[in-house]
Amino acid sequence: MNLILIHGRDQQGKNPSELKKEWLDTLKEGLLKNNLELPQDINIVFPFYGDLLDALSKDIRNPNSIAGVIAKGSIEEKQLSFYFEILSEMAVNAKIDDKKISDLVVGTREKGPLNWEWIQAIIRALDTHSPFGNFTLEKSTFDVFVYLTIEAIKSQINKFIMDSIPEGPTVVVGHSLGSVVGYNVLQELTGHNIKKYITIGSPLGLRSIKDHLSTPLKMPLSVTGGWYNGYDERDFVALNALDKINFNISPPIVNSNHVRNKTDNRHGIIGYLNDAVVAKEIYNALTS
Amino acid sequence: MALQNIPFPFNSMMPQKKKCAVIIGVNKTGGLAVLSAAVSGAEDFNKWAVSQGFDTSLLIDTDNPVTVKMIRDAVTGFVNEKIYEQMIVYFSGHGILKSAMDELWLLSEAPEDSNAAVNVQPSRFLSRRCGIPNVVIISDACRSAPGNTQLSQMSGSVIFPNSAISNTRVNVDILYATAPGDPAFEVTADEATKNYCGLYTRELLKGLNGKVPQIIKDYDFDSVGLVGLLNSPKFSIIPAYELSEYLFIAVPISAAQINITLSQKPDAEITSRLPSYLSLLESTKTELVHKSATQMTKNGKWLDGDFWNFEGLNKDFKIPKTEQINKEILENDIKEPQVDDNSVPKKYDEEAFDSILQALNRSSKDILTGFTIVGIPFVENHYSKNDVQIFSENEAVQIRIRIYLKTYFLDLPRGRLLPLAVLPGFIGTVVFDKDEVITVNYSPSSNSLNAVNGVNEINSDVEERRAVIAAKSKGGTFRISENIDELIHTASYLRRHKNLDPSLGLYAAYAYSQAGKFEDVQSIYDYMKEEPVPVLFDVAMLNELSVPEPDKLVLENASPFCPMLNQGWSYLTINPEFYDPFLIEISKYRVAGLWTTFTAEGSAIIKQKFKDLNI
Repeated sequence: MNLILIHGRDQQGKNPSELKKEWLDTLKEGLLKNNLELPQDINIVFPFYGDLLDALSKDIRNPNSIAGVIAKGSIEEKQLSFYFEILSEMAVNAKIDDKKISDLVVGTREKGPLNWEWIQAIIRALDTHSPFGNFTLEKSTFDVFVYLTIEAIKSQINKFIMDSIPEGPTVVVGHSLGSVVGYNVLQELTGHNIKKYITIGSPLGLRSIKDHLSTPLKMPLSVTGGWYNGYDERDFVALNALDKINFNISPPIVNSNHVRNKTDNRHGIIGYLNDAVVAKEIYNALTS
Repeated sequence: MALQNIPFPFNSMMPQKKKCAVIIGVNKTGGLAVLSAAVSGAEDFNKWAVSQGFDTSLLIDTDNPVTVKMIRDAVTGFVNEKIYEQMIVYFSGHGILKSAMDELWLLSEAPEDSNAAVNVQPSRFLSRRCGIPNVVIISDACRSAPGNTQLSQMSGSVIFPNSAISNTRVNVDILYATAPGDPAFEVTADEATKNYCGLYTRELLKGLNGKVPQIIKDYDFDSVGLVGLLNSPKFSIIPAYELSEYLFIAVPISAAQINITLSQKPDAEITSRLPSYLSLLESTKTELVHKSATQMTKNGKWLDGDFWNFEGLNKDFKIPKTEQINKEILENDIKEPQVDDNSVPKKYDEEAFDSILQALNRSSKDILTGFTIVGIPFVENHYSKNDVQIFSENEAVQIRIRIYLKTYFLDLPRGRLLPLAVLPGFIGTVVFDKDEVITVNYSPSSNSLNAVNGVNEINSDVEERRAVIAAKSKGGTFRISENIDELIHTASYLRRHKNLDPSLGLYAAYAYSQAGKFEDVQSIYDYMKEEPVPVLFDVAMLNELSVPEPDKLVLENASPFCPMLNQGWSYLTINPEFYDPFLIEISKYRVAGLWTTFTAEGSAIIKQKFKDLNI
């Protein structure tokens, strides 16, 4: 049995081995709450794409690179529009209204909401609500933006993940942007037996994310044992359940909002994998 | 073997896909005769759709008016679900065809509310961005001339969301109850009502419900991994192409059965291919029943007729295979460029074709930039004689333009006005037939730099081909989709010299746009913008509709100041705020026809706006 762990955004520059260890230690903590241990014969794969995504992202400003050519010069307007859509959705989830955002606008305000001052104010408001760190939130949004909107980058990341998936029965766990990458990869995957797809802290319920997925949305054919989605209702990235309203696929995704993520921003992987129910779900999938 | 329609829910082993339908029936629309069968047609269609497992939204005017908002909300709701593999938009009611590819479905509050109509072509254009892989638009509506000023000034609205360009390739099929073209223009909406009896929907449902054995196809879903089960029962399907072929044959016969003078010829453009289908049927082992086309008795009752006994129907009628059709297209004679659709196989207007060919080589060699007008004897000069000179030569009116103009306004009989793009170094040949513009073709002038470089060595094939396209366009059947590449490649001088004939560029941009080939529209635009002459407004507009970040400057730099083809105006309704408000205002004052021509009233407004006409 294989266990594929797909990490989220803003992971560039980190040591893949340490990151993998962090994930597994946290998962073991969650299993321990069930008096369980990670089964011995599991082939654990941690495809670290953080540096690749970072390198490709930097490339879009290089007019001689493939990504740069595809981005066709200035991507500012596209970026602004994407940031506005996704951050506004998150602000609504976090119950931050326009008045609060308006109060945080610094400097001259351009007419209309679609401007960088407004975007920065949303980021400040979100950070006040759940401390990500302004820089982190902006970088993370950029990662999601380039992955979803630049086809050349998306296909390279997807291929990198796809190539890491070995033959045989497999459980895939995707966190945050990793859950989006995982969904796209599983849609393309043929001839594999994915026993279960487990998403945690997933933004797939956000409309701004779904707008950039291939349609119709559907359960990947490679997933034979269902899809489980765990989230914390205070995690404004993930609080839209992947249900009939937000991700109406058949067979339906099993959602659980029970998680009480203990990380500051309610979104960190540590606060998800050490959850007893999430850990048990992974264990059951691995041993089924 | 005969087949039966299995009510939903299907046998669990049947291949299932998520499907949705917005079904509209409007009997009454302001000022026009009340229809009797539009609502019932919509209701019957809804029954079929529900039986096939469609999620439906039925919008009929039995109790309340049907509005654009209701339709747009229903369409947007389904689109936003992002789970559907097929969407049908069905309309039954009054329709008008303002000009080629510019048609409206009239809703309850038309014509008082000029937006209370569905603008079909831009809606179809936007449907390509909706992310649902197969969109089927079914129009059981008249395509007749507006008949009065109020109707002709309607602009209509789009019903698909103006979404970003989707990653998902969308095939759009469109089935019309009637064909466009000259006959349609002769029948006003009111007159058409008298004959409207919903027989198209009757025949449509007959086909969809599996009662026409010839159009039912066995399809091995296992082979494409749609079922994944061995030994699954046999299923049969009715694809859109086969259905449209049946309707093409059966509807005129049924119409003639009702009244020999009633002519109704359906029309369709089908781009979807297997495994897309409309109906799914489970096979059973009984004998075929050769009944299909519908007859209506004199007392108004509908009967199932014997399909084979209709006079005029070839008893050996078989649905041609799609591959066969495509092969025929490829092998077709240059004189008849084909379209990949099931439109009425109408010969182009041979008179118009002859007029266009006779207009060849009539331009004056003394003109660098300007126009050659063939088919009207006299053109009034309302410009300064230093700027624009008009004279006769080669039995044509020659117009030499010596100043920079973005638009040259050609005065026509009855106060009408024709806006023309002025392309430095090119002469536009404008050909009239019975006071109607039938083509505007641009060729490099013989003393331009292009001529020195040999660009104007247009071979006769290209000229002939351009003439055919123009002549064919006259009746509103201008649709070139699948073989547009062949069209471009045949005009090989375009590629050899790395520049693009503006006239063909114009046609090709529309054809690519209608076929959803947005990258090819951009390619046409990219070619044209490399030239030292302005890009035609239509090409610029279609390009800006095809790119993620449209730029108003592109339109400001284009020539003329408005779309050259009438069908271009309907695209303005996609995002009216993007365009100069004057364009939206003036759009109401157009004469039906292929080329934009303003009415006398519109002409007066334009002349008031651009007092010296120097734009």
